[in-house]
Amino acid sequence: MKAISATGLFKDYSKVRALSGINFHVEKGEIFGFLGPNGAGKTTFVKILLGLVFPTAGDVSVFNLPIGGRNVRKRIGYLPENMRLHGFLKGYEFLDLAGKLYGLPKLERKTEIDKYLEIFGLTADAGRPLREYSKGMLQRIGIAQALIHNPELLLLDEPTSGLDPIGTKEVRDIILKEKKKGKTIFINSHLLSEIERTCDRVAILNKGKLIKIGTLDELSDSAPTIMVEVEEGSEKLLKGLKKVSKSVRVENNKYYLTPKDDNTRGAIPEVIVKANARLVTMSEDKESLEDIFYRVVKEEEGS
Amino acid sequence: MKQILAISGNTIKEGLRNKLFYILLGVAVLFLLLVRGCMSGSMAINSEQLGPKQVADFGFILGFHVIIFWGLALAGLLSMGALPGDIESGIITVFISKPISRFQYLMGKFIGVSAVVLLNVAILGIGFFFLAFLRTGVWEFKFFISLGVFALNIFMLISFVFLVSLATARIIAMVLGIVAYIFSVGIDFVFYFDNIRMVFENSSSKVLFVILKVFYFVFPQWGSTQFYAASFVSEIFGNSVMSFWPVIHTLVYIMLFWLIMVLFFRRKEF
Repeated sequence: MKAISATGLFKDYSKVRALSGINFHVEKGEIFGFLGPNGAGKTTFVKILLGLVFPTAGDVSVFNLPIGGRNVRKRIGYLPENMRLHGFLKGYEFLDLAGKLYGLPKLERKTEIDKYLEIFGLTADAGRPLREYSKGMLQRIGIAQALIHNPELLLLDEPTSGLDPIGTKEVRDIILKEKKKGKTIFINSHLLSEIERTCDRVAILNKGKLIKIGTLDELSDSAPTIMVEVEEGSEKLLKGLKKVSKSVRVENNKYYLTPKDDNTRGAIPEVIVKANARLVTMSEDKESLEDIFYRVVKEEEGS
Repeated sequence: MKQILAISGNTIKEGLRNKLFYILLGVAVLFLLLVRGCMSGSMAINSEQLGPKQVADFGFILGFHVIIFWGLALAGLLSMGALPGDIESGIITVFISKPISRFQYLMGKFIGVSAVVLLNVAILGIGFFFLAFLRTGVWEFKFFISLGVFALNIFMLISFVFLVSLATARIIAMVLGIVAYIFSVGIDFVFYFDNIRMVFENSSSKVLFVILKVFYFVFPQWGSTQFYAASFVSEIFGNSVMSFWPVIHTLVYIMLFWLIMVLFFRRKEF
């Protein structure tokens, strides 16, 4: 069964086309990662699913039901990006309000609130106003309000934003735990390593267009990524490496190359010598999601 | 209904945890204590000595206007930020992504703001009622009818500011609300009071009279409703032709503001 389905989806704002002919679906029970640079249209898509924004054209459905209805939203838990909350509310009051809006009875609300406060380590802070919460605490209570009614579909917009490594791991564990319960989880994120660790399938969006979709294996090139580290990088070296590879991503003095063909590896030493650079190390690795993302976005922009 | 009450409960908490509520309440109490001082002693109008009942009436009408002034001020200040505050901060997405309709959200906010304002008015009204009794020995229960009728004006002002704040900056919504209220009082003054209306009817400028009449009918009648509410505590505010008309007019306008607001809000993107 399809949890989310989009066909020929377009969204135009007054001067910008935010989504352009989006076609894809998310299967029930999978963790789906939605990637894209800033302004790619990721948040717009999620907002369309919730009826916060209206599509210009196309069809979207959630659990085969038209979007926007209350019966659909009842089955969705949503964590907005950079979630802002009423600072005057106490942690417990906020979760209680969320529970009331989802129509949970009093007893169930109390049980669920206590459970999630415990899971997210917020029990001791439940009586404090939200204005006194740190960014990480706000993010955790935001996830708790999305889970409180035991939804079938979780829409998480940057769920690990603002969290420390421990908090990030806790969120990751919760996401995996919710998946085990059979829930569908849709994650918008910039943190590619998080997506790589948790998602079954990934879609890459750029400038409103869906440019790739599939499992990580399906998305990665058969050729591995080549990492070249030099003592001091230069423009000349970058130019040379670009000539012999599909895409190059630079991190300090490290160059990550997606090979063009089998000759790429052999051509690299010559490029290094010509650029008067000193090689520190060179290695091959399976293409990471970061490399895939970088490559497909660059390919799209070059086409 | 439970969802509406959840949102209104949250809005009430927001209002009661706002210092503004207590500041305005405190200032209004000070004014009422001053008014209390006007409710005894000897008073004369046109050299005619007022009796104790008339002095008490004078005090009640002053008290009524002090309470409605601060009630309206609180209504304007709370309603101007109620919707824009949630929209600008993005908090609204947390609410309307839940299984509630946009109408329920609006109604919840409206009930919440109205409840806080009415609570303020009720505290002041009950307090003044007992203060006045201690001073004059008169139980003026009609004072509460006045405040009850006036509540319609508060609802209309909140609806108006809600509507305007959806389309423009919150401060502009508040200022427009005040200007519209004052304008309405000015126009209605001409038509509500028999003596003044007759002067205009008999004046030579029929065009001016017709223009004013058009404004009177098409503009929200905050003024007439306020005068009608005041008529329960003072005969000065009575008239011979339109006792209940402003109430009907105000109810129609509240519904009209709501209709426009709901139609506008349902297509708004967040």
